Amino acid sequence: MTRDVRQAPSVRYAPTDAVDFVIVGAGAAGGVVARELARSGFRVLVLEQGPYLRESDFKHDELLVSEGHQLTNIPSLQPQTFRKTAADTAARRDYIIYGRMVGGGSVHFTANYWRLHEEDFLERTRYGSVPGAALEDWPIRYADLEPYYTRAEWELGVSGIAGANPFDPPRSRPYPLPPLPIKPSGVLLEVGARKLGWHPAPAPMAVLSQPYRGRSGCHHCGFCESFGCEWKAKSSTLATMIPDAERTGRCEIRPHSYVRRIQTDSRGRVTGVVYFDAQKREVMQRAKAIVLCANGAETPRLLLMSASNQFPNGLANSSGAVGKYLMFNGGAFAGALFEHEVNGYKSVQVSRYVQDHYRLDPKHGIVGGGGIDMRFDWYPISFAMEALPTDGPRWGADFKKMVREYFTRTAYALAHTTQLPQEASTITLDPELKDAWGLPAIRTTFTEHPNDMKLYQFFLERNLELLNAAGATRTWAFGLDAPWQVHLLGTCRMGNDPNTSVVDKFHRAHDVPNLFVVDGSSFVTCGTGQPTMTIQALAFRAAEAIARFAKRGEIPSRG
Amino acid sequence: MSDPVRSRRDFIALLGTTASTAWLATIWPPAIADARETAHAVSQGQAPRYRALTQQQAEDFGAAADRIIPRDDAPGARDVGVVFFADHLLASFAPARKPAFDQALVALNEAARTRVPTASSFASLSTSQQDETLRSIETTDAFDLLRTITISGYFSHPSHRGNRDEAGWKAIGFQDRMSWTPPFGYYDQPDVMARLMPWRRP
Repeated sequence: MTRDVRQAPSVRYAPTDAVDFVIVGAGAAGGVVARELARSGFRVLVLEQGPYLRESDFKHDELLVSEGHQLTNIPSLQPQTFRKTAADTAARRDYIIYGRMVGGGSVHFTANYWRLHEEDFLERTRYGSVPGAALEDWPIRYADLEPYYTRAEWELGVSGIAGANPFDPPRSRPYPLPPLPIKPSGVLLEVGARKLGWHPAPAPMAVLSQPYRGRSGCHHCGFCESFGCEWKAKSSTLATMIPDAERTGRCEIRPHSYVRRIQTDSRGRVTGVVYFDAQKREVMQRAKAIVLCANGAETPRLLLMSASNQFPNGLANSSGAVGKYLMFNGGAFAGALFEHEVNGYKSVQVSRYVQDHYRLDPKHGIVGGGGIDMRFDWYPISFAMEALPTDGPRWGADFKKMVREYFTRTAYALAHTTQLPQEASTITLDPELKDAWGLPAIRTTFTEHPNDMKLYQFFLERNLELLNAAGATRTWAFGLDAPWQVHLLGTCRMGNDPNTSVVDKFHRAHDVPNLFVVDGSSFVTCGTGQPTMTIQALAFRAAEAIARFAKRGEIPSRG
Repeated sequence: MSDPVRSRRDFIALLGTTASTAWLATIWPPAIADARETAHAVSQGQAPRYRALTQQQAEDFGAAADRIIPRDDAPGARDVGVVFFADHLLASFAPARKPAFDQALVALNEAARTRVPTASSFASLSTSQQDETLRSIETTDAFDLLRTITISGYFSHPSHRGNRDEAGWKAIGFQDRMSWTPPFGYYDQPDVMARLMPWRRP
């Protein structure tokens, strides 16, 4: 059985003790906010629904992470529903996958660590009004976030080369660590991309290429995506921010604490949360202020579950924007066979990427753009089940022969793209289905904007072009429909107008002065980049602002 | 399950388990000891003890698994313990799938008798008759479940009782290690990189 507490907590707070901050969710954002607020001198309690695992709990066991859901939400306890449009009846489908443990998704993510670019914050200005899309500029600019991108790189540990990607936005400091070794798939990407006149570069990764701040460098075991890192080389908040926070002596991480409701007083201020403990007992924890970092699905769900007479549409939802504008990023995926050994199963999944199509030429008539990496993110079971050409044999001698020939000789091109925000794409509470705690299940309503499908098709063609230019002996495409989603963005969007957004540019809820929301839900547009770095840069920036407000007495609590 | 889009995690949905912490607790290291004990019993000519499967189910599933991943110069599904994997799967961490598994084997035997009316079971058919039978149901959920369990058992961590001696991994050239050093394959060898990437600084 996994152990849930790695060490005696440095501090324990009583439920009746109104801590300075309760943070809901100990993931990519929550870990950063907890560490920053605790270091600023505040008494911080982090409530995490999942367990507190240690590195010795991580195994190279595909069934444990996929079938056992060791690191992610558990469908049998937390069933979900999905529908394409509000006119449909939602059917049982587990569409959303997120990290459910201390460290959240930063534990099992691939660790691609891209900054957004300047134009990602200004897509409304660039494209104007796009029919059917709720495109808006962010209330902050790249320049506002740049210092925090840099902080994230240095505090967490990121490997890369400044200036290697000519499309990179300006930066104030180089990467703290040199890039990881180039992989065979990286060589192939460079060869193919150069042949096409593109500009490949070492991929920035939140994985240590060398020892850093007491942690080991990467040993290239290859079990990054979907797995936790036994070496602490992946810069998850579990390996970085969480231990820092605990070392202050002011931060308690409380696992197995599943928040069901945020409590408010008659003046509309939050006073604490009600959560289920490991024994499913309800506990009321008092707090002076709350920071929600529960991810782009659970954060809006919790706000909607916290509806009251005073907040009939859900807490912090006078705008009606809570749960709306759900985005995941888009993409396209293609595979290729090569003549010689690629052995993609060794080392980090990605070592090179290319951003020549970050913003498509207007001649294509498509909003947005994307980046492409070459990778191998399969393990033996998933490879045999899903990685082969879709028109190939599925069983028998020919199937076995193909799995054996292809496993060490394939590489895959993944495009990572824009996806437009739409009001009708939502996280809401399922009216019927309940989870194992009796709470309403997540209901996802989602259909891609027509522009998105054109964009995916464009990138599927670029993927195939790249793989062929790299010398593939055979290529194949995968379907454009995403079977599940992991980037959970946009559902409590940030903005200056309280009528159209949920939080202000410092992540404070427009409606509730002592409630902050800091996670992927803050995104106004999903941007072209991989999102985790921006989530964490926003968290550093928000934590600094929240600490400043608190020290100035600008966070009114219970009167 | 009839969704034509074969997602990279569809196999999880197919197994559709209610994973329990009890299962997690069984994995390390008792499962390894148990697998060794079972392998030892078989090597001594003793009948294997199944917890979820009947002997007939073990034979029918094993026969199907051996057609899905047949023996070539690498072991076949049954050689590496896929039947024990299935038994363990259905007895411990996926008991909710037992009815679907039972139904899949009923469907398999019905298809067998459609091909060969006198057949007593799928396992009793010749391998070419077995292949014909499987081909006749290869687009069904029943077949997908048998295929999913076979592939999972052939390639999963050996602690789950399949992939004995990592034979499934060896067959495809995968090694489970905690550490690798470059070069990882052909294309990142220094001399190959020098040839393919003349722009690269040493």
